[in-house]
Amino acid sequence: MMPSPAESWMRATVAVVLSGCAQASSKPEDVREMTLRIAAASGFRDVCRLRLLPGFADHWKARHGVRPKFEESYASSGSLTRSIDSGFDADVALLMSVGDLDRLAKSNILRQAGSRSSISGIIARGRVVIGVRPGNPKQIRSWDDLARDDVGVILADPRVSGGSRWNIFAIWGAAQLRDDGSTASARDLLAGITRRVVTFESSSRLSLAAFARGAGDTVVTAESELHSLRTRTGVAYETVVPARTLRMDLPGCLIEVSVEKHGNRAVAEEFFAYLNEPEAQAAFQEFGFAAMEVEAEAPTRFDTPTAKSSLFTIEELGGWPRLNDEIFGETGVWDGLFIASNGRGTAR
Amino acid sequence: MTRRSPPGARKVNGLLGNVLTTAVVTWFLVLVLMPALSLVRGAFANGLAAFAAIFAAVETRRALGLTLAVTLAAAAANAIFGLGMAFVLTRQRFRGATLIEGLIDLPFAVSPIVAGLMLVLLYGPQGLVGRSLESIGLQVAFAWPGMVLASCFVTLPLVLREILPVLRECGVDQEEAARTLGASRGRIFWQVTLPAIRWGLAYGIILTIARSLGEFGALLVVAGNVLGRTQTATLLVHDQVENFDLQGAQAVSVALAATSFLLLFGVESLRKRIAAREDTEDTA
Amino acid sequence: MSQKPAFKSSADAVTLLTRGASLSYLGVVLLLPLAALGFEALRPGPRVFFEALSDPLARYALGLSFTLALAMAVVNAVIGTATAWVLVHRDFPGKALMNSLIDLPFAVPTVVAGLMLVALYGPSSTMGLLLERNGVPLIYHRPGVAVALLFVTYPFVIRSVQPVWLELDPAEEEAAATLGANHWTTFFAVTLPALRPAVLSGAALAFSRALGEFGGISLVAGNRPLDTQTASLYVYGAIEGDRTQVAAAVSIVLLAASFAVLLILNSLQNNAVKLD
Repeated sequence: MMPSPAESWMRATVAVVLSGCAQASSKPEDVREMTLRIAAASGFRDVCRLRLLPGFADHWKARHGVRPKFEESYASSGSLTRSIDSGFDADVALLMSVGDLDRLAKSNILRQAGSRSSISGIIARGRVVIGVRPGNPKQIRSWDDLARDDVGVILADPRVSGGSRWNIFAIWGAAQLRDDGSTASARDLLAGITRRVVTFESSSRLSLAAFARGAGDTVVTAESELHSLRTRTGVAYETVVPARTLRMDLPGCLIEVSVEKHGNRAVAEEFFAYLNEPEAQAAFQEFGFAAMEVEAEAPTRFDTPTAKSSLFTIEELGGWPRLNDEIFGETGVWDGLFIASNGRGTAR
Repeated sequence: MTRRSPPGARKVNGLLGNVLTTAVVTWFLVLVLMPALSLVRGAFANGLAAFAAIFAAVETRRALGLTLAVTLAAAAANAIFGLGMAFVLTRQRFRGATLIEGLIDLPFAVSPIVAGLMLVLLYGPQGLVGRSLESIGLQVAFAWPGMVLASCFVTLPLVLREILPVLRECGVDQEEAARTLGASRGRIFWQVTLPAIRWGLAYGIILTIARSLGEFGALLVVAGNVLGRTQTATLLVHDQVENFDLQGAQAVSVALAATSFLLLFGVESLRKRIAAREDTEDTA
Repeated sequence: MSQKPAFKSSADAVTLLTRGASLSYLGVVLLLPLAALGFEALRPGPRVFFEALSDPLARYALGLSFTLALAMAVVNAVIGTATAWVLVHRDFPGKALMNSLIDLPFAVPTVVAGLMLVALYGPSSTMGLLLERNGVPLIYHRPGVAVALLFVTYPFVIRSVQPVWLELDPAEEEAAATLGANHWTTFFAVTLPALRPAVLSGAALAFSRALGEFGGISLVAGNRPLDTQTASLYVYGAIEGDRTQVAAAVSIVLLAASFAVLLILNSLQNNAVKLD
């Protein structure tokens, strides 16, 4: 699918982010009525609206004397990517999957004319967890429990939701790492869990909404999403962190084509740089994401510290493009899971 | 009321009639009325004040305003098109007319999602036509023109389908008579043709409004969902469902459904009342 | 005054202008987008097109949608005709109210229709629990998809049959009755042929609507491949999942089938009109 390994490309661009912000031009006349159009995956909605945008507005005002205006669009990462790819003119995109960033990078809308670099990179991290109802009535402890006959699982459709691919990769990787890289056992676990899926919602948020409405016993999602669910509903849904789970690298990027068109480079670049500042990173952490410096070995910095949970990264599994191809590519295992079970979800 | 047959002639009594009536009414209650009532109950679950508060929010008002603007634009465009096309199909003869008439129903056959996809493929900034429109500074997809186009697409046949049979039935005799008497084309339209088709036209426009107030799938693909700018009311409902704001979603839904329903109901009862009045005038 | 028939053949400026404008509008709104879809589907060549259609998931989704749409057409033809009969021929308390509420499914935005059904029959609701305990869970199962489709297609047949039945000349029915025909014979020999075009047209609209419906089922279906994933859900997944060509290919099939049904129906109706 993707010829160039995304992760090496990513590392290169992260560097550009940091250097790119230094040269953010700020023409005093331009900044007066600046409007920034942000497209963010639904998972970033709360942190954006409550912290990042107000925080950045203050930050910008302190420097330029006026508050910038924001136009916000929240949808599932895959939908946003599709919209931007077909011409939706967001200036900054905050996405849930590296694959979505790759998709945008391929269509040349991230690069300045005549330049090979783009302003993009990982803006926050997270991890894949299991959400259960208060008191954990079904005693869910591990990924294997999700394949049990008495458990109903809620998932966002990984075909639509970029964020949900992390969930699938987490399950896949956990089984693979446990059984010395065995693809067969990873496949078995994934098949077992997909058989228990009650509904594949079209975004991560919708999967939580379905869970909150009473569907299923568990929801596989990002830790930050469960944080949102708890704050929004006031219900003490619990987070179960499996013994092995995946670290999510959440990317963002500047859409050069749009910035060029809107003439708001200064504010777009500075916003992107702001995301990396301690204030913004603290906000991410407050909302259940992990700060950038969190390494695979230091899970204690997460929202719900669990003593013996180890995090693995997408690189350990061979990188996003390879894994994505292996599971969701044309000959990937995903569709086969359903064909093998003849679609007979036994979920309630 | 006017065409009622003499009572007794049609009354089918007996067991079968009762059973059928019970079955039909039960079906209606379970399938339509109960879900609708549960929606209304949900919208007012936290009281009237909470319901009103939802509509005081800027985002809600903007989304409703946008929906209204898009809907009216689409209704106006399709009313004009419906009139023009109906004239072309009934008063002019040209090759391909039959084909055109068949094609007009096509939007009924297209899933709204696919309609959105088609418009993005063509009018998106990367699209076949959109590319050149973009270069002259006109953005169609992910901006209001695209949203109006999407609404026009899904409601395209509604006005035309309502006036076409009427126009066909009333024929050109009266128009020709008026013309022989020296009436201008404009006068013929206002005084002869329009009175004949006014109810069809009104009903078609109301159907268009009702349909496009509630359009979701096509806008989901074409609108971009920018809060306060390209987020229509149904996209707002979707957003509210995503953000666990079930009451908000239900409140906005009730407002949309009530508007459509009152319009449909209003035009129908108006038509009946006027028909009844004209009947009595005729007999008097 | 002119000898020519007033409008028919005069190709004057106004005539050409109306024709040109109407056809251009049709082109911009309908025909060009349609061509773009066809272009997208066939651009990589027919092999890719057929590969997209031979995918088991796509085939199943199409099959499910066709089955459901056909079922909607049949069920609505029967129940819609019965409902129209009741509304025309029977009196019962609340009839006026019911008659005015028939259009409600047209007024409710489809995404809301799904929400309503989830709230009423969903897993946490009393009704939902009751249904589940009796082994007929609705939401996230195929019966739930059918219920959502029944809701959105409810008014079609009723609204197309009711006016015809109101205008139906009772003399014929009466004549048949006096000749000793019982209700059923009268119904099948006299009433039904007169209603047939209206029933067919309503049923075909219900079929088309059910085939392409998205909003109403997106919250209800559960979207499980090879189980509750309908063609419209499959297409949505393909659009958002960067597989536009697959989406276009499946869409073309949906569209062609739906259009064929409408065409067949139109010709049936025209035949019926000619026979009159």
